[in-house]
Amino acid sequence: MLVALYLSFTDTNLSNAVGAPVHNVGLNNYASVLTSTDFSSAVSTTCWIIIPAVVIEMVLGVGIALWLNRPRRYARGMRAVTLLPYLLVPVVIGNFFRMFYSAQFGQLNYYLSLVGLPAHAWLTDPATVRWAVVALEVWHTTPFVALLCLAGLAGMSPDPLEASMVDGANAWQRFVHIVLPDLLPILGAVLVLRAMDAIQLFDEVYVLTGGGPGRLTSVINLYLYQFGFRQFQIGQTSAAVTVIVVFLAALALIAFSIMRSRSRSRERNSGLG
Amino acid sequence: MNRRITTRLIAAVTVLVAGTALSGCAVSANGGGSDTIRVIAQTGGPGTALADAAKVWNKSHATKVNVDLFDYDATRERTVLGFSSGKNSYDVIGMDYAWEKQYVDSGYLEPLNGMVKSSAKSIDMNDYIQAYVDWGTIDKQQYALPWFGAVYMLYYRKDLLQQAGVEVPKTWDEYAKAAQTLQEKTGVTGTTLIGKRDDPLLDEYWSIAWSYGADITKDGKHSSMDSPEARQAFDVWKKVAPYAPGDALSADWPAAAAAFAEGKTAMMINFSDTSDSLISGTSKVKDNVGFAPLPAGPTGKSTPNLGGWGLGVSAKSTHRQEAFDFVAWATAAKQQQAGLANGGSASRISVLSNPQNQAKYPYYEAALTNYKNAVFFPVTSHWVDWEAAMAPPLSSALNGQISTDEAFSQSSQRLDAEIAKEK
Repeated sequence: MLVALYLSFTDTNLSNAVGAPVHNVGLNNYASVLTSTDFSSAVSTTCWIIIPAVVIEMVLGVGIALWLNRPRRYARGMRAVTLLPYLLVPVVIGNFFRMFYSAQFGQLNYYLSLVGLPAHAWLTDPATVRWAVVALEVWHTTPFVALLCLAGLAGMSPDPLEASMVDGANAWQRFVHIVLPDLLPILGAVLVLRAMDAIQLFDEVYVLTGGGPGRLTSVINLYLYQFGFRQFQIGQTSAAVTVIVVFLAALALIAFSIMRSRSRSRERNSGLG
Repeated sequence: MNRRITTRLIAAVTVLVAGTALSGCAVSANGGGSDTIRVIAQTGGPGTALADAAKVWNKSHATKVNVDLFDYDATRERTVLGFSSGKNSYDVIGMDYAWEKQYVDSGYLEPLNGMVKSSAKSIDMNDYIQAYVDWGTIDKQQYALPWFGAVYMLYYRKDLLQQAGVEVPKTWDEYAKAAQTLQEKTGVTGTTLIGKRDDPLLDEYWSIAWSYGADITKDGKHSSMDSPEARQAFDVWKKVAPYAPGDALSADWPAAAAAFAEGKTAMMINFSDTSDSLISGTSKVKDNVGFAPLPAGPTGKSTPNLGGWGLGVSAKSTHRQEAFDFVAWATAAKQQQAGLANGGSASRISVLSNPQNQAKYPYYEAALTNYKNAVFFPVTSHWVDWEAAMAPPLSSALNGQISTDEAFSQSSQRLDAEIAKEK
């Protein structure tokens, strides 16, 4: 990180002549990054994709965890099967979904045709291409969220639930007033982890759309890849990385401080009760 | 206690990160001693043919050859990282010709004129496709010998054209009309359109646009993209889009070839090195594929985009002569002929014009015509940056996010900004 910070103040370009001098350019790289329309477009595209993806993953993850937490036959097997998408390599997932979404060969259009719906170009229509990436991301990482929630549910004391059932609380009331508050610290951690993880989104998008059409799916890491590994502008790439790391650190600090204040507040409340 | 744990954790993470970074940076070839010629090249059919050729070479030469094959982007990344870190250990550098100027400017490549001259008889430079010799020459110095070739050409379904009563299109207007007629009369999608950002889109677009008299730069110093000719070509290309597969904007060369081989489209324009997959056993249209020169534009010229790779010799190699000897041997007509069975793609006229080869590979005749007309992208150290500047606005315009005028204005401004950085 320190090396990247140093490089961010230089005009280092790996494609320059061997032994070419490296100059200090002060804050020029930061100015270039922060005024670049490509960078701001990459940031907004990334937010557009990860915010709905993380929200959907949290909702589905909690639902799946509740479902898996019920005692039933083959529970272990079902948990293992649910985890499978998370174990797959992102490039494989990207290629799989590329075929799945294909306007000509795709399974998605095939299933739609069975119910009389027309074929659609999911990866080139501006109205659907980002949602196609969101769906891929949700499919890939919801099992991770579900796993963590399942661990949270397993650690919960059964006493409050049993007491509430004796008091006549229905399933929804038990979920809202007992299960969800207990899961909140885990959901907070999941939110931060997934947000940081989602910002690293690259392989799937690279394979699926290459960032197109236009710049509709050019996420931050594609921007960094373009500058760092295709154009080899390491100085400018390091500046962009530093900006992103500062942003992520701030995000993590805010999330953890919120979680800490909620936790203290709950401790106070339970002490008073 | 907590502090000690934190300190250890930081140290462990630092070691892990540093280890990962260093393992990523260390670029060295696999295997081979100091008397081994090490080659870096792209994976795929020609790469396999090159590796097979190396095995033949190793049987009869004291200096052995070891070939490392990587994906397209990875080949360039490893080459650049190897040289910039001072750890390059490759003697023969395989490269897309679009990268050659940067490699030359950065001092990676050995000028080959002297070695070419001293072995002129055995090399026979006149037998290489001239466009590759020209592309590989910078400031009158040859830096690479043509390894494998690929050029844009027109593919069509003979049965569907006959069924629809459509002639093989000779101009882009005829091509757009043919795509429409074929789709309407046969029910099969008229043609393909390769619109994936960045290189696929630009390769196809410029194959059309050059024939309209458009150019990327007129003098190498200013963008000339924002021209009436460039827009006119784009309009014709857009006219084809309704008769291409719905996901054409995310299609690259293999995807278009797969659609054509599956019988999903009636025509296609694509690089010639996709031809073998169309006439192989798995193709559903193998007996009905026709090959033709790319249609011409209003200038009367057909201007297919030239692709392909060359093999150069590392300026840092301690075996420059031996490395050159291998390059000359591997790109000779005899080896190119032998490589055809292993996925090779010839860059020599004698191989492409051989009647027996033309009978076995029926696209060779059309490929030769396209090679004669071929146009290559501007020779610049910053081609990758130019691509990234030009392609996104054109992609946005193709699916209607912005107008054609906006696209060409944006592309031109972005390209000018890239060119300005070079000054």
